[in-house]
Amino acid sequence: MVDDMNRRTPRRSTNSRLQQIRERFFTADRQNTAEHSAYREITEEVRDRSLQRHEKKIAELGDLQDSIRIKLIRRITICLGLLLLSVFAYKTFSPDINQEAPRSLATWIEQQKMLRQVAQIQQWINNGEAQSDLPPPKNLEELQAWLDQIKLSPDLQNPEEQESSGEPGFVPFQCAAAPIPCLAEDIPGAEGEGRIELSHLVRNANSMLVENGNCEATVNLIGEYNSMFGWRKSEAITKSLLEISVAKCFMEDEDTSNAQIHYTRAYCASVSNPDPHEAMNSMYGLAKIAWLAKDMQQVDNYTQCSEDLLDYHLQTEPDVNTLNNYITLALMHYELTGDTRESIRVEEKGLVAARELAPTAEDYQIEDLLEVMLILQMNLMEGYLTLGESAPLYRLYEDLKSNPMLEDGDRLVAQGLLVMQDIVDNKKESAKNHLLRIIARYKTLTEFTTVWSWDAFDRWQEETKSSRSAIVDEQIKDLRIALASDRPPDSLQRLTKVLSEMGGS
Amino acid sequence: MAIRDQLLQKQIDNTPSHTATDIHETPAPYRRWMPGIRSLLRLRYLNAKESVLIENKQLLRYDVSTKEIQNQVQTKLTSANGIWHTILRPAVVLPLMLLLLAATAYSLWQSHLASLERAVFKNDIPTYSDAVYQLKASQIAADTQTNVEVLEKINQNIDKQTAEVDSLKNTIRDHFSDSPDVVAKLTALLDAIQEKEIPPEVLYKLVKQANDELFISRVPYYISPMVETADCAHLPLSSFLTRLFGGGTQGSGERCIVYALLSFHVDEFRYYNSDKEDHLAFFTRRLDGLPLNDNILGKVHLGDDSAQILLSNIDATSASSTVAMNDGQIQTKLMPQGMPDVYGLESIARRLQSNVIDQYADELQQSWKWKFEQVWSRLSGSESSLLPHATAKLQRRVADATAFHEVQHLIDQFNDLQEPPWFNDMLIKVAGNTPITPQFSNHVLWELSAFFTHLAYGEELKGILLNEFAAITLNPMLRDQPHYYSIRMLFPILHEMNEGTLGSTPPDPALTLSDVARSYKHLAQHVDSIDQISRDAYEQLFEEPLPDIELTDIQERKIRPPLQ
Repeated sequence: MVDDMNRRTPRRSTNSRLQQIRERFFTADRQNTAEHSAYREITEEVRDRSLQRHEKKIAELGDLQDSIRIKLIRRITICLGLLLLSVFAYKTFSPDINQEAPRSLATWIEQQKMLRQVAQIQQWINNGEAQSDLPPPKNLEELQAWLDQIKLSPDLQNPEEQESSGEPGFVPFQCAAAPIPCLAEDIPGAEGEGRIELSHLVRNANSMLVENGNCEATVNLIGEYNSMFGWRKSEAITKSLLEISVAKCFMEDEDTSNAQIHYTRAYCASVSNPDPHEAMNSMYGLAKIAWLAKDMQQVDNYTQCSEDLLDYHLQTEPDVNTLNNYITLALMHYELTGDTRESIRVEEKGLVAARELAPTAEDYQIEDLLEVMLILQMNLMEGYLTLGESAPLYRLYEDLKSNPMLEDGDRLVAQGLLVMQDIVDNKKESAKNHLLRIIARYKTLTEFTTVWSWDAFDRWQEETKSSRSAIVDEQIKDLRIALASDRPPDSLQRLTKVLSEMGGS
Repeated sequence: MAIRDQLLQKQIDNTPSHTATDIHETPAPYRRWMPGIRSLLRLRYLNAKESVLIENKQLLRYDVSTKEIQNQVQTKLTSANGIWHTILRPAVVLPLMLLLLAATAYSLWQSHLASLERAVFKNDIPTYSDAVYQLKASQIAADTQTNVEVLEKINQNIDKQTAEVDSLKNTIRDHFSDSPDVVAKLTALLDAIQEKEIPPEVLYKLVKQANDELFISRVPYYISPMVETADCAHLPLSSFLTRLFGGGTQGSGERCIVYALLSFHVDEFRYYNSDKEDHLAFFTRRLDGLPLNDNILGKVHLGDDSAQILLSNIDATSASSTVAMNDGQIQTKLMPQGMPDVYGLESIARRLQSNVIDQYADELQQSWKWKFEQVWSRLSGSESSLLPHATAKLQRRVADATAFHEVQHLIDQFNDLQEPPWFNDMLIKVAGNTPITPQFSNHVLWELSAFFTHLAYGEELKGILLNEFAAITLNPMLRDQPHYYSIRMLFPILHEMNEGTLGSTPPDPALTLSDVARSYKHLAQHVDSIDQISRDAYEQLFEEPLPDIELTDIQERKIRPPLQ
């Protein structure tokens, strides 16, 4: 068969022959004779070997490619590495990077500058415009420490003015958190008694402020008085009060810039007095201005400084008038910082100070002291009610009962606060008992004035409305209305209604 | 049958197999190609052959002859895609690669040249002025030295320093050997600072000529001189400690002028037009790294017709003020050392500054860049902050506003701004005991005029500018600066203008800190209208409107001859 094939196609290529063989393979695959089976066995083996060789070749080619790729990647990596190394070396040793300009000249120029500055500071120290707690430095180590501790005067004036303005103003109390600048001219300095001109000034100023609301004219009037007579120490409180009136006048005109100037002057005029009342009012005004400007940090500073001021006065001149100002301080917290706890803290502080002062107080002071204590106790009760703290509320009520200044009106207000707390706590019996006492004595009373402000209470009532039922809220409102100094004619009916709602009669 | 089968078997075994390694699989045919390329070509052949074998295998053709396989591979390599691979790719890619290589080499070379040029300005020029100073100091030391041995050492040092000065000068000149004009101008400048007593105005002219030449020659660098005058005996560095702690050393009575040459890279130049006149401003970045003139944001030298904006200082100042606002140190920035904020300015300053930063932050929040950064930070778990972006914007905007201030100086110099009748009285009041020279008076007037423009063109930065101005005039250390006095005049003028009480004569200047604080607080309340207040006040006091200044898009490099 092969011979035939070779004979018939002697010039055929190997490919043709292979084609024929392949055809025979296919033919053999389809035949079922014994001969063909034997043939299939042989060709199958051949095919397997061909396939193996073929696959081996494919694998070889793959391996070869992989090895070339790896070699290529290795070479590229080496080249890139060398390139990066070269760039790095170039950058490192580049002429414009590696050098740093010499600094002899720069150092010398800096030295000249420093010499001028040190000479300037020395001159300020000599002129009293700067303070130094250390002796002049003798070496560089001391120099930095010396420079760091130099304190420049806030009223560092230009040289011409320094010569004419005399010594800087002295203020005994200044607070680091919010120091208030005091010019010498703002502090009454001359010795002597008050004069008749002062009363004219006050009368005219009040007239201008109250009748005309003319702030500027009052400022001019005060200035004229100063230029004609000069302020005496004995007139300090009057000056301070006048400045506060002017500041309030500007506040009404919403001119906070001018109001600030006059509150500052009021503070400067009053701060050396043993009574911090005007200073506190000034500080309160300044804090209010900061509050209007939404500068809460400054509000906090002024509030802190007010407390420091009171503490300072309490240490140097313990007096009932100082204690009175803790109420103003608490008001600052209520109104400006909105922090009831702080308000309570300072009032507690005032109450403790009042108790400490009581044994040593003069007879004529006792009544005032008890009055202050009474207000503090009542305010504290209101504060604890707004915080929902019944234990200190009851403790203060017991404390209050021992105050000889306690009158019926105050007692009923205090009991009213207890009723409110009981209603909130759902202590119906206790609330009913207190309410019965209030109603029994209610008709004979003409006023309730001890609680200085129901503002905090009203705020609390509004804010916590959702935590109570509508009935309880209505009851509290009725009590509040009935206990206020401007109570309406149907107050008693309101109290009776509350009582009946509790099941009493 | 057996024989036939055996023959068949033998025939199959002897068929030339494609599985044998052909010549193209070996490296031999590719040797004419450069390394790398030859591997790629070989790889391409192997890849083609492999895919041909795989195709044959799928057709159950395991025994194809080598020639047929090679034909198929050849067909594959020369098909539409293959033509690209075999003919076009080497023809296109190779020249492209060579071009790329050449371009890389060229740019590296250019970068190297730029680096050398940068080194001249960054190192050589400041080093030169430093070496000249050291030489002068040594010469002074030699003049006063009586000890022969020490004198000999000093003289040796002088010889060494002279050689160094000459060498540096030559290096600088050699670098620009292709530009004779640049060499001539730089040589004139370098020679001048070697002289013992060259007046500042002469030196400024030489610096201007050098800068103009650099600008025209497209060399993006700028030189700015700093002058310091001292008793010649105080030139040596060693005299400092004695003078500082020993109560001063005896001076010779002879004055020496020392110049430092500070160097800058010109990032950008802009022309501003006013009244049909173009004024040039260079936006420069500090190169020398010396701790000098760190607080100056912009300057114009007397007689110069171009302004310099110092971007490095602006960047540092803006960044530190933003940081100060954030960490509660703004008081330290506003009030000088040890001075409490008794006038309550800190909170106002903070508000003015944070208003601007907040505005920038709001704008930036809308940008795609910020949104992308947020996505990235969420993915990477890192924190992103708007503050650096807002600070960068603040830096750009402060540079823009500073340019208007400096251009106003150019306008005033060009137009020879006349002193208004009220100015001298006001200056006498504000200066107090400070001696007033005509130069000082002019400088205060120019600064006053420029501050009006600065605010008028301050746009959203007006509040920040108000803070910066207040910080200058609240600092008693700056009493030797004209700016200190200009601002003390400016604040009450603007205050009265806004209150409607400003007449043709301005009010008294702010003599005390409380005066400054009062006006500052008032103006802070009306910061939005402060640009208009500035324009109105300028017009009322200078009896002419504030010059209109417009940024142009001029790219042509042109310079004017120096003003006389």
